[in-house]
Amino acid sequence: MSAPYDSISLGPFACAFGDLERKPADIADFDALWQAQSADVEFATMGCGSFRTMSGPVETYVLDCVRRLLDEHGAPAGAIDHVIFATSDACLEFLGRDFAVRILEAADLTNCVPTVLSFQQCCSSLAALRYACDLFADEDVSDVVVLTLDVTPRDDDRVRSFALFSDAVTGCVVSRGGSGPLRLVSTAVNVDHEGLLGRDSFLSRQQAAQGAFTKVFRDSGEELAGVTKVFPTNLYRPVTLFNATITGVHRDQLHFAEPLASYGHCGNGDWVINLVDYHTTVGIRSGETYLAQASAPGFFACGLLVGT
Amino acid sequence: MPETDEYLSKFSDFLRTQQMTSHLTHEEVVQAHTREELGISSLNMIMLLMNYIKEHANDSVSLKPEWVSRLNDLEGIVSVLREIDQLSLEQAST
Repeated sequence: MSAPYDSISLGPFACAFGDLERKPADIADFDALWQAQSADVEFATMGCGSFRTMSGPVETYVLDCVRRLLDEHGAPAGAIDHVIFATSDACLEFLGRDFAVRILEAADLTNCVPTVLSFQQCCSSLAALRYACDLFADEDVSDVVVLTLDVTPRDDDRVRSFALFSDAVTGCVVSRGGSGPLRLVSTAVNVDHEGLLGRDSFLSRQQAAQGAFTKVFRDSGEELAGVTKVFPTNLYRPVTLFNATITGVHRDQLHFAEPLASYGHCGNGDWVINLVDYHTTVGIRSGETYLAQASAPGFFACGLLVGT
Repeated sequence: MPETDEYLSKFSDFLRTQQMTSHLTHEEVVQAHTREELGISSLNMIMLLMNYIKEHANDSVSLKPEWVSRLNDLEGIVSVLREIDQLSLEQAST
């Protein structure tokens, strides 16, 4: 679905990673956990050398991310109209009922409406981005903060067959008439019902992804082959490559290897982390198109972005 | 030997070089119809395909979206391997 987001910019972006940098071998019984999840497949092929753990409460990292965003955006906290938290389903239970109030108070967000967006696993952040842009239909809205947060408290829950879960908060400012490096063209999220039930197949995953691509490029005047870079979810490297290529994305279009090596899978934040890494090392270019992409069991989401 | 049987044999040989499928005998492979019968999970199928491209096509062939629907039965898998070899040959000759 396309929408007129021409005057709405995305950026600055920020990442607040867990402060403890650890190696997979630091996880107790890592080899046994990996074998239980991925028998006969070598972990070395994952492409992940380290991951991050938060030593303190997630609120600390949320506040760090918000402060960095506001500093770079150059706006006072009181100017933020909305804050949207995007998180995976499993994280909802850790936030608690007063989470939003604690953040609003600590960050001095005194004129800010909070929202949480979830139930779409790692795809929730792209739904949040779309929701943020749609808020600008209200002419009084000028600045919105989108935050992704994903934390895994128990080490043995970090090891999955397709991913090594890491802790991070990421965010971006969405603003009317701002100077952010990107603007949103369109987003799409598709559900793979078989995947939700744990019965997904190559075909059901491919269909969910291709359906989302069709929606996101429809009416955009752009095509997948013309996209400069795709920022995917940081899963087991061969799986990330496979998932991309079966939907027509060329492996050279992907930007994920370096962030995956350093940070593992940071849930909803992966596409932001990959985008920030690319912007820092190469630079988002005006007029070029980029694709933020997220996948999870049962979901596929993407967002078409263009450099401002 | 018909071409399909030849490729099934090649696939069988390849499986025995891979850690995850090294235990499979040639008889088990030629008698099976689906990868599930051989105990090859979807993750392992991805790994096998990526490893085949790396080892037999110098990592120069990209997966094609239309191959996905063929990765559940052995006949389809073998047809994909044949295409990978053909594409690799074409690229080598250009």
